Amino acid sequence: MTNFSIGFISSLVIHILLFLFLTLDFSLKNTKENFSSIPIKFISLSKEIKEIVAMPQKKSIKKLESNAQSLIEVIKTKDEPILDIFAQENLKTELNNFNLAKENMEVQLRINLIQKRINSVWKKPSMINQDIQVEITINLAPSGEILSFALLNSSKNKVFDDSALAAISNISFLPEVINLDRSYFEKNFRSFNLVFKSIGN
Amino acid sequence: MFFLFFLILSPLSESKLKIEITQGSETLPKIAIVPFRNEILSGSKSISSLIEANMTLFGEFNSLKKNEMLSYPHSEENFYYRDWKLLEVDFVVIGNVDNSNLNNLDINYLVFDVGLRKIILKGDISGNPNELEQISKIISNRAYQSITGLDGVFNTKLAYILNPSKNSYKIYISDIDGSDEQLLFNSSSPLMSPSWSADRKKLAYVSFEKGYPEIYIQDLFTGNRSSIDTLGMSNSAPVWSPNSKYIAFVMSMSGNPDIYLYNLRNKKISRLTRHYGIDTEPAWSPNSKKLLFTSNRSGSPQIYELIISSGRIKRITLDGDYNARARYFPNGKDIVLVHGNNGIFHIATKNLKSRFINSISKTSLDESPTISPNGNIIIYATKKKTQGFLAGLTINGKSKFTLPVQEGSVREPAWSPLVN
Repeated sequence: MTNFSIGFISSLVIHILLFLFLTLDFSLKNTKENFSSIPIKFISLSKEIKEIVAMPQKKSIKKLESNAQSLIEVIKTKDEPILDIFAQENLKTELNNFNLAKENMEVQLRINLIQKRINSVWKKPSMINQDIQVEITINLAPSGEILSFALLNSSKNKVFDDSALAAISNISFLPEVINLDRSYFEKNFRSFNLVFKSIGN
Repeated sequence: MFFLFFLILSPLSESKLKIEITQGSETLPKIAIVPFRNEILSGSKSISSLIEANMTLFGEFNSLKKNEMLSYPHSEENFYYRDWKLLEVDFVVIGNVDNSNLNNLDINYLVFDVGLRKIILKGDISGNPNELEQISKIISNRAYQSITGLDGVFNTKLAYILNPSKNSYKIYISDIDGSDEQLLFNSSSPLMSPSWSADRKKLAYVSFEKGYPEIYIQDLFTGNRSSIDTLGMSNSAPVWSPNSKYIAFVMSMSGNPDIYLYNLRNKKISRLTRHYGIDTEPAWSPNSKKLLFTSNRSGSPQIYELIISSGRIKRITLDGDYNARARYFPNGKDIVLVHGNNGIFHIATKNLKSRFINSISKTSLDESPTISPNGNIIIYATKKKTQGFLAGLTINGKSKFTLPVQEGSVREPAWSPLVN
């Protein structure tokens, strides 16, 4: 008996709650209509788009795939590797050119400064139109210090040779190379030659 | 494998960086003449002061003052290169005088190259104290030669014409520094064109004493003078050949000047040019085989070169409306000349093989350049208002100087050859 009454009461309560829930739900729907309508619209819209997109895709992908297949085959056999090398080479040379230009600029700047410095200390002997030159090789440290220098090609005029050697021994330092990129330094200034000419401006 | 080999080799085959140096410094080399030990005064001047005056005569060097020197070394042992490098000196001369025999001084001297840290000259000379100036000139010549590689010219002479007043003309000879002036000939008629014999013992010049130009040769030691016998035809512009065999000159037969040769041995005259234009101002090449001369055969005065053996004539100057009075440099390859354009006359140099004429003087009425025997200095006559004076310059253009002004106008300097 008690089991039945408990079941009855509990079912009654559930029904009442269900009723209440349903009425509440109804009132919810009514009050927040706009809110609930949006997801519905959204879902339907997305489905439509999916269908529209998906339909031709399935066909075109296959076409594209087959087209691509043939294309890839062509590229692989002929164009692709060549194009690749060309591109790489172009890039390489462009990069090289850029680096070379940069290096040339940096090195030329140093050359001009070194010319200026040595011109300023060289007591050039006076001689009319005697076209001679002396070549001196110089070993430099990255600090600009002249480590050693030696007569490479004599002008066969002792005074002229001596004037050039004296000019170099009078400086002992070429600070112009100090801020130079190390690789540029090693390539150009670690060991280089100075040519002193009797004729020139 | 080959590729690898190539890779290893390629950095080696790359040519080394070459930097060209052509200009040189604007500043002059600096010398220091240290007072010699026991140096003896000649008048108010010491040996070292005399040498310093010589070395700086043509503005070829700056010199360090004695009171700026850190020490007065007399020998190699107490010579410290760094002291002189600190003072930015390039060359130092030091010396000792041995005065144990007062009638015969013994002077030894050293020249140091401070830049190269080495002795470039060791010299020894002895002589009478009365001849200290001459001895100093010889020491200066040796030092100059060791430093520049060029012959020293401090004991050479200069001949020139002085025109002190309207009817007074004088030929003078002086030391190259202007000292020891000696009057050679004095006339009320114009004197012109002095030219030295190669042995420096005679001078040829033009005198108008008979009313027309005539060449005279005067012995400097005996004073004897005689004219070249040209049968009364006017003759001028004598130049002594370096081999002492000839005098080239200008003679006007039937009024037209041409170049002739006077043989000093047999006194015979031979004709070199034959042209209706004016040929004048001959100058000998150092090997006595060629002559430069000025001719207006093209319409304006230009320089021509004549090869004596073949008689071949070649035009040398092409640019400018006036090129005249050329002289060879001792190298025989370059010439100095008077280059005029629009009434402005400069001293200019030119290489015989190149077209370019290089004006080197800045004054505007420059004439009659004469070259030092070492080829490094040119002295020429120029004018300030009506006053003529002598100016000079070094061929590198770094130095210009004027010689002391005389009373009256100075013209036509002639630099003597070197004495052997």
